[in-house]
Amino acid sequence: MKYKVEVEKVSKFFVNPNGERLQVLDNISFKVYDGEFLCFVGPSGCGKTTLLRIIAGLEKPSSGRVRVEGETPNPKKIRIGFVFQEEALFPWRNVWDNIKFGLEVRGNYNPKIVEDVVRLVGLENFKSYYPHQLSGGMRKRVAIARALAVNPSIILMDEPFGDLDAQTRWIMHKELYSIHEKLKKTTILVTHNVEEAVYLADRVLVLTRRPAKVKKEIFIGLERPRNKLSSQFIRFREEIIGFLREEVPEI
Amino acid sequence: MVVVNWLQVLFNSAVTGSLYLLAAVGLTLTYGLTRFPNFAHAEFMALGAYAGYTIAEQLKLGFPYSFIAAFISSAALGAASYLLVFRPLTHRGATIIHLMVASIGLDFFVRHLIKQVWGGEQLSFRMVWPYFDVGPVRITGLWVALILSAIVMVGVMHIVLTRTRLGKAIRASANNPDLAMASGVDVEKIALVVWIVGAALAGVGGLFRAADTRLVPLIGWEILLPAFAVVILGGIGSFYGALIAAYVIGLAENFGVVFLVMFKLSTDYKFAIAFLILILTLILKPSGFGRLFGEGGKVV
Amino acid sequence: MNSSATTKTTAVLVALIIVVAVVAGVGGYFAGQSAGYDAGYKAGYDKGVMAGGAKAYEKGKSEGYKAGYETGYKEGLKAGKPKGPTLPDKIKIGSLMCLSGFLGPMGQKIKLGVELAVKEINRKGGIAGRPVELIVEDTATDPKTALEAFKKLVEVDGCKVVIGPMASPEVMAIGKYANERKVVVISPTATSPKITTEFPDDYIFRTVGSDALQGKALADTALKKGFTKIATLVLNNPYGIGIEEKAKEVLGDKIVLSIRYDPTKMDFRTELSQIKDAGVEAVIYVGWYEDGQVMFRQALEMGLDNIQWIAAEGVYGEPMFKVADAAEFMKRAVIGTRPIAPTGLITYKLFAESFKKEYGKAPTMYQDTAYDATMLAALAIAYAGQYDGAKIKDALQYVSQYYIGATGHKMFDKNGDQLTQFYEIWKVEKVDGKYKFVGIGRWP
Repeated sequence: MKYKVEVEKVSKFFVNPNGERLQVLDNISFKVYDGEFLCFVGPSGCGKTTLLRIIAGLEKPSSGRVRVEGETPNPKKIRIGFVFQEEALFPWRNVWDNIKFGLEVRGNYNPKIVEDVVRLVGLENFKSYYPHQLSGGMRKRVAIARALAVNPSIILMDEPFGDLDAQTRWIMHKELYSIHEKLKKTTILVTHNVEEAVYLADRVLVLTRRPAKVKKEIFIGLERPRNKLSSQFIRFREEIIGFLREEVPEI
Repeated sequence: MVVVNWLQVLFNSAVTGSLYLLAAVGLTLTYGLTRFPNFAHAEFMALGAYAGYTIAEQLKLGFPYSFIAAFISSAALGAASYLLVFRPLTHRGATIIHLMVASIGLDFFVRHLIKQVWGGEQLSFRMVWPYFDVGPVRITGLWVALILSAIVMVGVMHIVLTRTRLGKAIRASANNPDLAMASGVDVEKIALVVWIVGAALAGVGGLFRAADTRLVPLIGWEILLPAFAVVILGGIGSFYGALIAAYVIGLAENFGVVFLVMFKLSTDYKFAIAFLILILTLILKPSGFGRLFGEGGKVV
Repeated sequence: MNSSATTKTTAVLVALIIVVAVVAGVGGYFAGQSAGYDAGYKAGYDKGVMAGGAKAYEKGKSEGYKAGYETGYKEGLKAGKPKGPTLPDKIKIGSLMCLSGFLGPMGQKIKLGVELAVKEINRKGGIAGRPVELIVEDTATDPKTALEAFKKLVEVDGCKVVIGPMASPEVMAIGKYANERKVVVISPTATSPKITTEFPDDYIFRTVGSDALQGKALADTALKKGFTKIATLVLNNPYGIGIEEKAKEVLGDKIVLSIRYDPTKMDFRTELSQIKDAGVEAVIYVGWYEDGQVMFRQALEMGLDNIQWIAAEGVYGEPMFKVADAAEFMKRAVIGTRPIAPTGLITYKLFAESFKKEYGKAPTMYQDTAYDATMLAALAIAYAGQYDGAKIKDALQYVSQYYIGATGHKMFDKNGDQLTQFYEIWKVEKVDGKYKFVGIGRWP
């Protein structure tokens, strides 16, 4: 079996402004299969985002090792599609120019590639719009298209739909599912929304409170497309919420 | 009755604004890219001024050479600051507070180094600039050189930022380093370029300030406050925002003088007027003028 | 301490007063008095000086030595009555000087005047046999730093007398604290009239005339030249505003434009544009060296050398010539006033000789007033007979009546201000390629 991502005994410490050492990740290990859709759920502030940034190579682990396609992650060498939690588009570039930015930087801009991803996310009629002229859901599509445009080896998504209303989020789940079906890109998605994880993931890793460890691994063996109202779906959902409640009793 | 030569005031504003622009461009770009306000930027200005002084007054080589000396020496200091201080600190997980405090420390270090080399005494450029009247406006060679330098800098920066891959990467990195990095930009390399260019421009600004007034080790600190005002007003990391903000503050200060004198108030308050504009802008448009160009981060 | 020891100490004190008084030429004053002021020395002196009595004063000084010695001796005896506890073994005199900042170049020089006085006193055996220890602190030309440094002198070193600080805002900053802690402050240079109005009748003294007088001197100079359209351009601090207000009082609506500026800004183009546009014939200017250099350079660039600038003493001094443009501008367009001692004083000559012997060069502005301030402090301590602020304050008022120092008769009025002050009117000339200040007249 070939692994796309290997995370071995990764720990991460920060020093806060008071000079205190703060451990965020505690000896985390897991592997991601090629083409797999993996979700992390965990309490707020447990270090999920840090873990994702380490896999992307935006930060270095304090100890341990991360391999993406057998190499140390480095956004300059390995193409990674990162969808950020917050608004992450360049506001002075229109939809088309935002999507092409990653290609431009790498010096291999090709209008056909951009055209393809624009069609994939359904933004054909909005190519020349600027971010501030688009709705929240539209902007998310641009961000996903931007991530896909570079033909990434993995896609990393950090609570991508957290700031959307329930209805738009529901639509985005469906779209992300169909994109994944089409492209079969290895995807790691971090969320605190359990329903989202059960709907999209092949496998869910539940993290503990900070410093985060892997608490539980759950394979979601449900047929796709999944029915959020089916009894199995709800059973998975409740099981995961149960694990989370052990960490944060207030849930 | 107070008679006012508005054209002269306008021209004076252009002089003030050009100086602030040269001082602030590097500050705003490094703030955007490295995510902290670099107080040592003051010394980039001071070193340029002193290096220029040595060339012009001690070696008697003329102003164009001191211009080059200011550019190169400050560029070198900018590169050294980034490579030896701020990049290693960032790699060790320093926060904005750590970096800010480190920059203040570096500022003190460099300032005292300057004091050791050139002494703490006030120095002055002895060169006399030609002056002439264009209609009702009095102009000197120095002021023209300052304004021209700012215009050339803006032109070159504009072409680089919009036409070249490097420039596009700079603009993206100053606005959102994470996104730029995830898109494949070598943000650390870009940061180095920006630190060098920003420091060099600050050095040139410092040289003009020194030639226009005099040289003291605190010369950089004197302009750091207005430079920060330009950065905030323009939107952190926004070149175009800083461009507008520098001249807005230049206008506010100089026209402020006219109104203050009319109302029989001390011209001390001209800076207060600039800050009033700053505060109003932040209330109405929190990300500053950069917003007009889709740039500019919020004040951290 | 038994009574015989007390008497002995008193005798020493008296001797000291006599020595210093003679050296300082107390006689000049008394001779002047006997030569024609008949309405009591104070009123006579006032009247005499104001009515051109300086002449009589000078005439008096040559004859006056003997009379002065005798009177001084008598006064010394009268003053030298036993006073209870005596002086500490070492007498501390504090000093606050601008050794850095805007007035730094000036402060470095003025400090020499204080040091010279202390050296002379110690060479003559100190105050009643006790050596004087001088403690100098830097105020960085900053009122806040001045207050901190003052607190250090008072609370850590225990000084009851402080020479300085130099700048008026600094004196204003420490005034309240000095009064609370009963510490005598003698500034050799602070000239703002605000010091009089804010701190009347208290612990704040100065050995230089208030700018109420200099403002008048500047205004009179403008009047004498026949200017009718005048602008004022002054530092926005008590020094600048004090002169501006006095000048306005004298000149009334001849002043058509008033600008108060921030010396730290160094970008004065628009202020100068305003003056240019107002079409005035003269500018009454109050600035310091650092901002003055830049102001004059930019004034030259703006073409303001075609009107007459009349400057206060803040820009009087060689450092102004370090900037070629500023020096040239001063030569072309600037005259000014500065406080001086009455001419021909033998006491000034004695001071100048001593200064030259010590430092190898002639004294410049305010080194003399600093010297006098320090001498007065020592005399007052000697006369008080104890190291106590309140006693020294009263003693200072008393001894000042008899002290004629480098800058003349240093009698204080009840506010601690000088009763009178002479000013020189100066201009700048270029001789053999070198700029220098030249006296062209006197006021009053």
